[in-house]
Amino acid sequence: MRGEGFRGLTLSELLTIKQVEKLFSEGRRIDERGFLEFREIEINTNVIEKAFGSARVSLGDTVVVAGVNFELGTPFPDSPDKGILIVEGEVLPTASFGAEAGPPNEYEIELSRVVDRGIRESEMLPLEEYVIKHGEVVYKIFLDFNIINDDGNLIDAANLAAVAALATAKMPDINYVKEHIDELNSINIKEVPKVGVKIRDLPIAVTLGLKNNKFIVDPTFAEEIAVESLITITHTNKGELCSIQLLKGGLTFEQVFEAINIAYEKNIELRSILERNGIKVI
Amino acid sequence: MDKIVVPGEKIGAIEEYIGLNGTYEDSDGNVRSKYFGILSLNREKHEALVIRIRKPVLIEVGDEVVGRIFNISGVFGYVRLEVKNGKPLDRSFIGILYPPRAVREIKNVYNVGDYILAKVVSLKNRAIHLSIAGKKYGVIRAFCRVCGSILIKKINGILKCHKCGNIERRKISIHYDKEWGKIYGY
Amino acid sequence: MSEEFRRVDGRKPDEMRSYKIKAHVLKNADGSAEIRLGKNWIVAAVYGPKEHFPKFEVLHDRAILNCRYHMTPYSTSERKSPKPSRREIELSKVIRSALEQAVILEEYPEMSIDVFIEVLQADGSTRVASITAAAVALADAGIPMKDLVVGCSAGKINGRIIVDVGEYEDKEGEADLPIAIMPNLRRVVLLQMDGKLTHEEFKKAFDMALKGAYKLYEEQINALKSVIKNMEVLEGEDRE
Repeated sequence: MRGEGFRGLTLSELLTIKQVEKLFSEGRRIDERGFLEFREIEINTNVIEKAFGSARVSLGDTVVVAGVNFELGTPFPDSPDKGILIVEGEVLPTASFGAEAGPPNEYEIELSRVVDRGIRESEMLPLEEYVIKHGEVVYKIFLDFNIINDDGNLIDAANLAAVAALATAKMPDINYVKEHIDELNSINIKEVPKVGVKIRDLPIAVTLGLKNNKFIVDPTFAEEIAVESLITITHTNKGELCSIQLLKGGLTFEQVFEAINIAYEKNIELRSILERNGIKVI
Repeated sequence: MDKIVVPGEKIGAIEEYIGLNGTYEDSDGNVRSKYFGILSLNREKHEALVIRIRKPVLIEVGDEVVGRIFNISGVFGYVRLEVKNGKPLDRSFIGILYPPRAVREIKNVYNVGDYILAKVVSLKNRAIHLSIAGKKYGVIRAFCRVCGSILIKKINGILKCHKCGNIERRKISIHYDKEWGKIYGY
Repeated sequence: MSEEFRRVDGRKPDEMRSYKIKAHVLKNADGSAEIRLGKNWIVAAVYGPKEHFPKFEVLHDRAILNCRYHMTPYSTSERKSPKPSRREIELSKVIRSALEQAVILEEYPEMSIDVFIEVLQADGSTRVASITAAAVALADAGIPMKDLVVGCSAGKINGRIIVDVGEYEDKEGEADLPIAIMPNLRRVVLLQMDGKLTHEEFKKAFDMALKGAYKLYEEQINALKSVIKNMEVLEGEDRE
């Protein structure tokens, strides 16, 4: 996965990976966590005043910030009766020694597409309610997230941040905009009275690593490289699957189902953490 | 007896066959083919062998190659290979050429721009090492250092420019300007 | 499941579209293959192993596998920009990751192998069809592999689980599950899902996709074997 290519890894990273591998064979993890234990999760919402919604999530040493913005836009021709949701994420150059500024590489694209898929396919937002004028004016929702510090398991952290930012966002009141439909050009979207965003679901992504035929959750950067396989499984509120991505390596047929069951258990745990922070489907 | 196999196809258990070239053992103790090819089984010796239908074009030890020297660093010549065993190559390989013995002036052995016929002697350190030792191998076409015209071989083994008359020396092949040169259409 | 249920194209839920794989279809490539699955028409070409440039990128313990999945502008009903989209970059990555599981890259250190997949016409499930063709092309090039790789998709439309998702079903359906496996080693090497599936539905869809993949595996073998039949003289390789 990451850390491949000509840049390679620094010696200290390599040594950590070797250490991780050694501990795995003894049934231990580098930070003395259980195989199916998450690192400490901290969720802060509305950390950025200028955005409509925002969240900062830290998962151990991995830190993600997500922000939500609303704009008026024209809908896609093939879905004139739906608002537009754009989810994009980038790893910032602050994230690690190897992170680079510039256009996203394939791992960043995969990261943002997997997070996007979870939010889109779970139908978290009622996009069909965000239409101001059929086929002409809709809400365009930008959900951007950035990895500030990278210590692995970016997808789970980014997913939590994205979901938290979206669920706690205050959107411009659509009824107000509809009433002023004749003067759309003069409307400043930031000054429209705000109402809470209605959400229908909360997708929760859980990434599992596989080493020596044993699953681990929440892999750190070194563990991501040390494991043979990585898979992200996203569940909806009702416990349905809404997105799966095999990120690295392979699994036996039985391991696929084992992974799904573990992801389901862990998804309930993460959901309760979100709930403790006041984020849930009403 | 011979059978067509595809990659991953099971040949037998490791107790039944010793897997030779073109096979591998999986983690469950099976001998499997790693090529798309023809399986040949030796039932007496319990040996299995897969010979592939197509082989990647790669340079191997013992190949005779023709190439053009594009750089000389110290005494080493860097050669862009163009022909392998009489067949033009469709991809780029770079070989390293060594003088056959200690030399004082490398320009009397080979020069940048010369075509050489050489033998691949080693692939150590993942470089293609070429040798021009022996009568057969050496420069097969060279160009005048003064005017760039083709050098003609004279009876005494020295090379003379047919335009300006400049005299030069090389470690030349017995094929100098003969059959191998035809490949380039001169 | 009622026997009466027919899909948009008249198929039963567990029925594949017609398919045909041909190996060695391009003269210049070291290995190549073409797949037709429904209206999908995909060509895969393999070049290499070859020297990798620039040299500072090489891996010292194995070959680099480059993979490009690309859709031609005329492959879809609306013209697609020829520039690689984010979707194509992601698919190139997952296809490469799947093929890396099968190819024995350690045999060619410091070299690279290029796999080019061009979708000439897209009709749903292109990524699994692509990977099926690419594996045949790799085998055709004589590249050592632990196993072939074969893919198939399953999905859900109007509450029913279906196999080999077509373009309409991909757009209108509720879920899509493309998988690719190594058929002999019984490992999943590509697994993606989007849409909503319960755990039971997932199991059903997964089993259906597996069955479909094993059908396509038979076709892969046929395609490779007919290469030999079409060869007049076997280019004899020295018995090493």
